[in-house]
Amino acid sequence: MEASDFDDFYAASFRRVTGQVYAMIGDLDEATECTQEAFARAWAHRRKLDKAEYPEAWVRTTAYRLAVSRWRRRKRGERAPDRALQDVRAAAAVDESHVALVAALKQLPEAQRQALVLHHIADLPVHQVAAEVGVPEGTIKARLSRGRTALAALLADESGLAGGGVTHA
Amino acid sequence: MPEQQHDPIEELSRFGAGLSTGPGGGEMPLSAADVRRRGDRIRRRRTALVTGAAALAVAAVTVPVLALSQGDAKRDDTLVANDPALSVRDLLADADTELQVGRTGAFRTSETTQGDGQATVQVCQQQKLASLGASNSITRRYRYVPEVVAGETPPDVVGDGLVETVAQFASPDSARSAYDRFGAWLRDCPKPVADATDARVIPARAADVPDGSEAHIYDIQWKDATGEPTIGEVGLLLQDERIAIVAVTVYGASDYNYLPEDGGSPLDRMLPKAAERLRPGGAAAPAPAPSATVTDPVDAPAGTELPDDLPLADGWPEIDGDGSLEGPARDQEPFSFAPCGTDVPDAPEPADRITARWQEPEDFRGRQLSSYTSAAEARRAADAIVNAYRACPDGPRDDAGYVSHHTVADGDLGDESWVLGRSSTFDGAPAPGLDVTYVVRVGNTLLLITGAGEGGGSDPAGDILTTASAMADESTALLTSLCRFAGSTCAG
Repeated sequence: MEASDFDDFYAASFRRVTGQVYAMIGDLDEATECTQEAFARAWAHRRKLDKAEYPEAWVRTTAYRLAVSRWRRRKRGERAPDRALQDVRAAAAVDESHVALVAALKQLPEAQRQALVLHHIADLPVHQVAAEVGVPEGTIKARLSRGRTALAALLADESGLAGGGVTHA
Repeated sequence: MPEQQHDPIEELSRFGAGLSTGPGGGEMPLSAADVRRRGDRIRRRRTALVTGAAALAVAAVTVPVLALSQGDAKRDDTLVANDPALSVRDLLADADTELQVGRTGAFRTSETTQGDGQATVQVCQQQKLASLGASNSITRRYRYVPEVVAGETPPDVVGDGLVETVAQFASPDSARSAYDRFGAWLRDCPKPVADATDARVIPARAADVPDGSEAHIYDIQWKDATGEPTIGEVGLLLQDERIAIVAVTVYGASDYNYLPEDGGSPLDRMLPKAAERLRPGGAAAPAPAPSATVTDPVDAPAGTELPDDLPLADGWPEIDGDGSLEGPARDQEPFSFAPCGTDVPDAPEPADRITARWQEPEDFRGRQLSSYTSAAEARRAADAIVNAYRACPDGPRDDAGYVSHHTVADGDLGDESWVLGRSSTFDGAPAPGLDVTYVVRVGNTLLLITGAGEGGGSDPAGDILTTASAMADESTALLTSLCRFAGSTCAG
């Protein structure tokens, strides 16, 4: 992948991937930072990326994994988040209606939330979600079914949203 | 019905559509060029990744009783094993080191010193170990051997890699006191390196070490002068009357690297081995077999006719449209060397020879295998080349203003080996372009592995080591076959 190709890829995919990661983790600043780091790693591993069938999926998976890893580490050690990248400005707030949706998503189990985001937000077919997550298609279908039901209940019950705002995942 | 008011699929889809058509995902904090620059740093740091000692140590001016490569491990032991309490066998061997999961032997010993010397050694150390009651201590520095991707420019290597100090005390209480004191120094460490910013020490975590030992790992995070995030891991290990301090610094690493589910941090993996080494009696644990143990060549049982099926061109990248592969064949032009403009004679005359060359516009690789009537003859052929390099550290300035420089270092392949490097400077500054030759004697054969490329522009010494390491990795199959053919015990 040449620099110009990467720049086009970054410009076309950054917001989308950031939004998807945000939906998965519920923290826009963290999603922005992890996505940025994932793109940097994508450039560092561009030979590998050239061979990837879906480069955006590679970046998304990397960003999500980074975010989860950071969250786990902070949870385990109560560490302050490291700022690997400089100049991460406060990300612009997303549409207000999306805040409630993301807050509801945060109430779901991680696996259900991931399946919902990949299938309904990233618009991936079930088999591709299964491939990206690394579980059988049947498992994804079950997670989608349970996730949709749970999400509907959470959206219906505004009081079910913890604080109604976005906190660190 | 609440569900009728909030269709989750519709909400999710709307969110997804907003990401594609609107500002949904938020702003891009960095430009694509900035992200690429960050990626380039990651790549360089990922493969170079480390300095430990150089960044962390406080100019240890110690007496280098030992400055040995891995291949000298036996001499290493002989010199220090007279001390019944502590020996170099209590230190991590090269094969014990592991930076990335599963890649053992990531570091090579660069220097082993005894005693405190004139300065403290470890990061945040405020007093010499002798001041804490240590009756003896040994410190070993290791340099990182970065992973090199075939066909790519070797990464930068910054300084040394890893440093371990082991110390002996008069009693367990004394060792415990020193262990606690060191921990306090680390907890209160204000600045791990002079130009660090945003430094902070993460509360220590207990390390998983064998029974009878106690260990804690301290993570110190900071940003270097360029703003690059850096993690310095320091492991403290207590075992009866001994302590060990192991420190590694990882540039370009953030707090999401080295998670337990990924195999843990370098010290998570190396401290248990350090504990085994430090354990009284653990010194008897087998050290990794030195790969260069033959000091007086002896005649090998092998014949002089080289097998046709030796994989002389194995491990090289595929040739693309602009490249060429010549050989392996017996009718190839032999390699020639002329440091300082003086041709090195091709003597003694080989009994048999096979040569292969791989060439692309900016890279060259070559291998030449020669057999001789005896191991001593093979050694003489090696000496002719090695001594010519030694005799010419700096060549004359050529017509274009470039000055060639030649270096010789011990290698760790075959029965004995040397790494020859040639780099150049222009107006005193390193200039791109270097070539490296690994001279490897195996029994009565001499293998020359050579490579040339555009490295050397910023760190010639590091590039030479990196190139040599990459060439060695590429030649694994050949060396294994050669050791077998020559009847040598070398591992290849």
